[in-house]
Amino acid sequence: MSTKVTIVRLATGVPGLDVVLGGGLPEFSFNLIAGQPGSGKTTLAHQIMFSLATPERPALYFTALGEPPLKMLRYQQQFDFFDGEAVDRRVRFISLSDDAMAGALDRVLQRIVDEVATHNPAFVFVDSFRAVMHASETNDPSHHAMQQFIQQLGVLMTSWQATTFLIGEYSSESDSSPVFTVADGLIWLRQSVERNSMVRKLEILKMRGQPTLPGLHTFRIGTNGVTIFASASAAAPIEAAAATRPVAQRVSLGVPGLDDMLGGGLPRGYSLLVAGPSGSGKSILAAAFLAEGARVGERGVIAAFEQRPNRTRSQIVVDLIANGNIGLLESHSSDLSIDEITYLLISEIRRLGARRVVIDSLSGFELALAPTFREDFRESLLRMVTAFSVEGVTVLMTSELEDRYTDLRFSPYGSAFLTDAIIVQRYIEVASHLLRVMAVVKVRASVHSSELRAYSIDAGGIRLGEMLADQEGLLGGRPTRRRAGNPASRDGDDTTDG
Amino acid sequence: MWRDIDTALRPVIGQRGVVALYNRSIHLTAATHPWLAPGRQDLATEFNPSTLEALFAQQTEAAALSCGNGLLQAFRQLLASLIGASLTERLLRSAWGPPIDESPTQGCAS
Repeated sequence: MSTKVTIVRLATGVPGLDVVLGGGLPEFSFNLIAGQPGSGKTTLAHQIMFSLATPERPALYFTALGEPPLKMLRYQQQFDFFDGEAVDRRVRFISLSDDAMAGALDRVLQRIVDEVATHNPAFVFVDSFRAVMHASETNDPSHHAMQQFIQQLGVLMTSWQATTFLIGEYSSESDSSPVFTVADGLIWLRQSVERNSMVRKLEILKMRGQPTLPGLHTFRIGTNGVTIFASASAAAPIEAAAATRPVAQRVSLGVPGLDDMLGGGLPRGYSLLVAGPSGSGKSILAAAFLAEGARVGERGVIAAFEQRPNRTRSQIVVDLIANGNIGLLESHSSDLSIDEITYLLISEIRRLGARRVVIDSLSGFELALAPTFREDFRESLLRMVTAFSVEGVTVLMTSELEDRYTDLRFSPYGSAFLTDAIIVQRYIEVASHLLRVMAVVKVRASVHSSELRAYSIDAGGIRLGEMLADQEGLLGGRPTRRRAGNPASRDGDDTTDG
Repeated sequence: MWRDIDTALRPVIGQRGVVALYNRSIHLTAATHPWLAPGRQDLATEFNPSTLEALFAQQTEAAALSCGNGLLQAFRQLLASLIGASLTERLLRSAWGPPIDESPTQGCAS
């Protein structure tokens, strides 16, 4: 029905926030930004304010007893979004501290009413709201007075057609407050500390009439303010997944012979796990994959978590990065979340129009994650792989594999089932030489070779050799020469579910 | 002048904020002009420059002018050290009139 009201959704200008909010912030809503001290409430509020306010639709920022306004202005102007020119033009700061200190809620309310009437703002911020409440408790401890105040403020702001934000320090949502009931939106900021890492998370506990993204979303505060990394799977348009994956097309890995083993190349959009012990040539295979992409005009992105820049990385990759065919995502910090890495990778993929992605390696990746995320590493990894598949990129991930000859494993995480294809590399001992062998273990929905092929690595990269048909017990690591007439051992053929 | 500053700043940083900055400026300037010291006032009271005006009235015109300039300069620098020159200028625009690097004051006892 056309007579129904249409709620305008405002773009907050905070990267990722609109996605989490389910399409922006409803106009004229009455919101609470809550969290512990230092969780980024004031920064988020300022960022939203500077983004939304215009000379025609100005913002009023009321400061109460929390952070002294001088301090707030001093620190907030360090952020890129803080526009000094906007002050008193589209953004106005008003101190309520004198009224709040007197402890009379009605005086505070009257002051807000007067200022709102004078300046006719489209956006109103009250920071810190908790301080107003606390000040009132000393004079009038009744719950009722507070409830009334909030109710009145809510009604007043909505009737003035102002989108309102109350900023308050609350340590937990069990901390019951009437404002939780009255508010249309509850944005909760948290920070969790584990060992030496600190992770910031945002949750939309409530947003009336909005399909918000559930769960905790990690965010980071940098010089450009708050950036929110919406959970990868949720942010991706799922329906696009099927459309962007042409089934028949295959991509070459750039190692002669390996494509044949895969049944004609890796199906486009697949994720491939290359598992092997240290030094088995996983990174070299990854480099070949990217170089082959560059050769056929497909750009790539590499996320490197292991090797020092330009030191041990292959020259091919260094050159490709230098000439812009490959985007490099490097991290040496130890407080990342998978969602953040996914966000950064996908931004880079979209920037370059990349078709190939390499993550080298999952082991280093896991170490780069904040400890709190390691627990649900597999789930998050699945989200990331799904997000890549939606983007239509072909992914190669390497994984360090401890050489254990008693069992056939593909990764320490049991992440083998997450990927569409698996190549495993191993060392074997033959005639007092350490040889390398590799095999294609899995290519989803495709025939592939079951050969265990020896290979060598030289300046030109990986050279696939022959099957060691005269040896048996290869997967045990110490094969023996097969005697004539003895059928080939079946060891390992049926133990492929790592 | 000081009343204009109070009018410009009080809405933003509150009465206590203005008085605190003012007291600090008096303290800094009183190092060279000790007769200013009694101009300080209680944080909890509304800003009132009448004591300051009375103190200035007892000085020669030249002394009052130089000291008044010094006091304003101290106040401005103090605020600028906290929130930066551009924001200081913007907030004080209505009180100062001309931009910050031009000659700011004519008299100082008002």
